[in-house]
Amino acid sequence: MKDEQLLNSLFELARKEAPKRSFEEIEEVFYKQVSLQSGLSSATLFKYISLNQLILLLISALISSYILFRSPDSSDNKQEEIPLVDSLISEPIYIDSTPAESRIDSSFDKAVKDFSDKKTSTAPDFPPTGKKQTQEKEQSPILLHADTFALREDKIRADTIQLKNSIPERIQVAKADTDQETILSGNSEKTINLTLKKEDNLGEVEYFNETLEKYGFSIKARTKFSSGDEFLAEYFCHFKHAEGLNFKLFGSGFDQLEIILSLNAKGEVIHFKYRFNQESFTRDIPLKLSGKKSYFYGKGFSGMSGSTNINIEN
Amino acid sequence: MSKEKQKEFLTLYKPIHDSFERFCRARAYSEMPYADLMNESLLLAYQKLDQFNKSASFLSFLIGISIRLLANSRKKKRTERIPDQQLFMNFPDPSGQFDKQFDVELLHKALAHLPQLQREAIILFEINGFQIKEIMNIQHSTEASVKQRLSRGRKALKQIISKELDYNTDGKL
Repeated sequence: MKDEQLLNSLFELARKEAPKRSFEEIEEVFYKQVSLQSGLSSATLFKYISLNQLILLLISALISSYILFRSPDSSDNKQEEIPLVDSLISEPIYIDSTPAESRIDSSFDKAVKDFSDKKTSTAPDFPPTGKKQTQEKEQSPILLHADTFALREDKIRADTIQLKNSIPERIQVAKADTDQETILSGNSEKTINLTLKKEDNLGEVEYFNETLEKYGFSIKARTKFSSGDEFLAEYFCHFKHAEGLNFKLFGSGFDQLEIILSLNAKGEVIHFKYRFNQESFTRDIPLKLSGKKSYFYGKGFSGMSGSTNINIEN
Repeated sequence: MSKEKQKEFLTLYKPIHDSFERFCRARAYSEMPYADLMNESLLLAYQKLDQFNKSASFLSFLIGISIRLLANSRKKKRTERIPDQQLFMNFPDPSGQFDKQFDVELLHKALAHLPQLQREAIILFEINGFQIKEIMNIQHSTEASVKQRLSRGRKALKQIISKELDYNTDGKL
């Protein structure tokens, strides 16, 4: 009650408060602004146009010099992005055989190591039926700490997704470049690097998912965009594979998700790894793994706080 | 012709100057200088004067433009913000009512913590004296939504203000 009275008195004060700027002051500024807008002298106009032309000339000179003198693709082991489709598919990179630092906790590591001895559950649908992503209910394996994850999952609704733009040209160009190969040492003959950025639209996300399906995964993915479709706020993907993979990955507030698929000589995926926001890649994830991993970035989360829930299926 | 238009515009504006300034001061607090918001809104309203329906409220028309300007400035992700104290100190107070200024400042600061739509609804209803139906038109919302915003906004404000006062009383840093 006391707070109510206080609030009411504050509102009363605000209502009766005298203006800080007089009407005459506003009038003076208004006249100046209007005359500036409409009363450009010819000299000022000429100067304005000339300046604009000069800026345009400089920009076009910079662009043409960049195009002319851009260095060719090198044999360096750098990861290059395709200029027009920089957010979707990148050229494969050289994968160092020494394992990268992993940020997955020890339970996940143990699961990866021990899993080869375990049998898997019933195989998922393979080859992928090519159905659109739906909100089908699925029997998930027995999971630890499933409640938090289920809560996030419920909040992602496919019907809230609005397609921003359809850019068929961009998708086409990206497709042509997905088959580039890099010869590597080790078991894998080539790698495919897929990148999903927060600036991507629904079409690009769908293409990302379709590319994964092309390499043998069965994908059920859900996305959530920010209000106004400004950026990709959340991405959830349930990976399945004929080998027995049953892996759920969720990311929220991330800038970038990269997945590297390692292929054998026949072009079949043998393992994959991923990372968010250009942190360290995970260890190679075998295609018989079952589990889930969540990543939260942005306000309220200091860095990654992933929760590992690994279930080894018998 | 343009001079006539300018006169007409200022004739429409003069009676609502106080109310519009109050809205801009409360609404723009910590987002942009309220003087800039006022000037830009007036200029844009002048350019769009032909679109103004003379049977409608000119204050609503002006406030609608200000709201859209603020939304655009948020989308551009402006990082320039005038610190609270500077906003307060730059404007001389001829009335000499320092304590009352401080209280209104406290209210504006508390309002700045609310979500945008709640903040707008509270300012329009409590400070500018708009009816709920008028607020519905400005915010393009239903009556129920506006009422909910007012209710939740007031509740949140009470909590914020009581915390602020506790802080000031305790003097903790």
